Amino acid sequence: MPSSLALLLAPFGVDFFCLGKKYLVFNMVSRNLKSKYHRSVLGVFWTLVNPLAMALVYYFVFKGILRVKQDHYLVFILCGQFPWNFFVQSLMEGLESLVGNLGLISKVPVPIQIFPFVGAVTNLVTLFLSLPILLGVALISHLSIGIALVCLPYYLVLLFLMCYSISLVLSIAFVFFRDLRHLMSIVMQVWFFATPVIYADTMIPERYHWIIYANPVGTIFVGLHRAFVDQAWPSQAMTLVPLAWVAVFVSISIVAYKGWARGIVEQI
Amino acid sequence: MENIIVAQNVTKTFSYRVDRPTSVKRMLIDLFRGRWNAGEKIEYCALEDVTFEIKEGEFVGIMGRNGAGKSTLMKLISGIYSPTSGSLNVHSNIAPLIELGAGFHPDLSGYENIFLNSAVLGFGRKATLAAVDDILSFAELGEHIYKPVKTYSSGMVIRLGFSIACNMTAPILLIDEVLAVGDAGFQAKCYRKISELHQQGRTVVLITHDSPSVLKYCQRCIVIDNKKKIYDGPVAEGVSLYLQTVGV
Repeated sequence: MPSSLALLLAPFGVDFFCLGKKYLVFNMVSRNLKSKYHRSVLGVFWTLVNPLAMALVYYFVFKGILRVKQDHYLVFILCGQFPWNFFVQSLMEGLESLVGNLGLISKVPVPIQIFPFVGAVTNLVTLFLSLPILLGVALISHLSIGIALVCLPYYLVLLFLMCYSISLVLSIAFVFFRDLRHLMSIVMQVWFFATPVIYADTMIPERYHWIIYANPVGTIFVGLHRAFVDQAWPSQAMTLVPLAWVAVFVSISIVAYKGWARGIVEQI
Repeated sequence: MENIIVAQNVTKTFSYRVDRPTSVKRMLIDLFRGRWNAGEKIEYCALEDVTFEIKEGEFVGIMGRNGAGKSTLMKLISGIYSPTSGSLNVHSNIAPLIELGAGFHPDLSGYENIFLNSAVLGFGRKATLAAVDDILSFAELGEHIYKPVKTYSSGMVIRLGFSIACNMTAPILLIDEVLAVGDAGFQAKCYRKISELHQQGRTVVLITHDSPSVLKYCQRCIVIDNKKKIYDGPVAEGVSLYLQTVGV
């Protein structure tokens, strides 16, 4: 029965989401988490400290020095910074996931998409660990988190799909272009400032507004800010535009991995 | 007995490009200068028109000198490569022992790596739990099993890797040259285990240079030389043909 179910669902991404390999995904994610956190609570602490420290720096620079007029600015930054950190980490780790697992790929038949997938899931777990901090700070700031709790899962699912599909394409490209890592660190730097993570979309001058829509993850962050700080439901555009972007990137990555699924082993 | 591995006119050609730009920087510079350089495509044939069948429950040795195409054939059977032309069908699950401990993570303990490794080989949690006692007793690692794998000697890694691969119940066991590394005592133990599995009805494919063990254990022998199958039949003649090809 499970196998016929898998066959029925095949066009809907059983391969893409590694559903046939759940146990392997589970084991690889727990391997990553264990080695990342060195089996200690402090290990988790360190991965959370990075975005927290950055958030405090931005808070000081933009609120204290540049006098940005934004209510609840710390919550505002945090609800952008944690997801952004998830995004960057997944992409940078996903980039090297195929080449880094060469030893495994060339010895055992494993579907290649499992490596970026596992990377994205691992970072998603880290993101979940940071959510209590975000919700805690929101509550301390006397923000009600009703709307946020509905919107957050929606945007996180979209962001996860974004991370996974971009990582998958990047990991394949990295096999052929080994200098992508340097390029990506620049791209991510630019991308950060092109995305409304630490500023609100309302601060952007009218003539640059298109950037938010042209940015594949831009509307996701606007939606998160809307829900957390403005306590409002995101507009139709902020709900549907990210969905369209995800559809585009998921399609690209499916084409990429279907095309390279077999051949990549010989090229690494 | 039914055929469990069927290879029909299998040819494997590797193609890669030389002189193509290997960096984004290079590619952009080339594009900027208006020269698109896709590189020269080079093809290398590793295996040519190989046809054979392996029946359920057989113990087959595949021999050939270095570079003859054995490892390519091995990777084709285990599904890592797919044939360029021809067809290769494997009608069952396979436990490839290509490089023992390939999926081990150095920071995890041996015990944790058992679960990771068997998941990599395609087994689920239940199957692993059922076999874990056998794996532990066969590997003979004692209390070291709870220490990180990075503290293991290479012999210990191999013992654990072999123990996992042959205690998980796959109908086909594919063994590539890995046993050459262990000490004589462990090698003998591995061969005993392999022939025990064979007696239980598993199919065993052994890819090796070691002619004495082919003579001792295999029922049939396939010799590959210069990308082609040159012999398929009884072991004694196969081994002497193999020894001729290596020039002994």
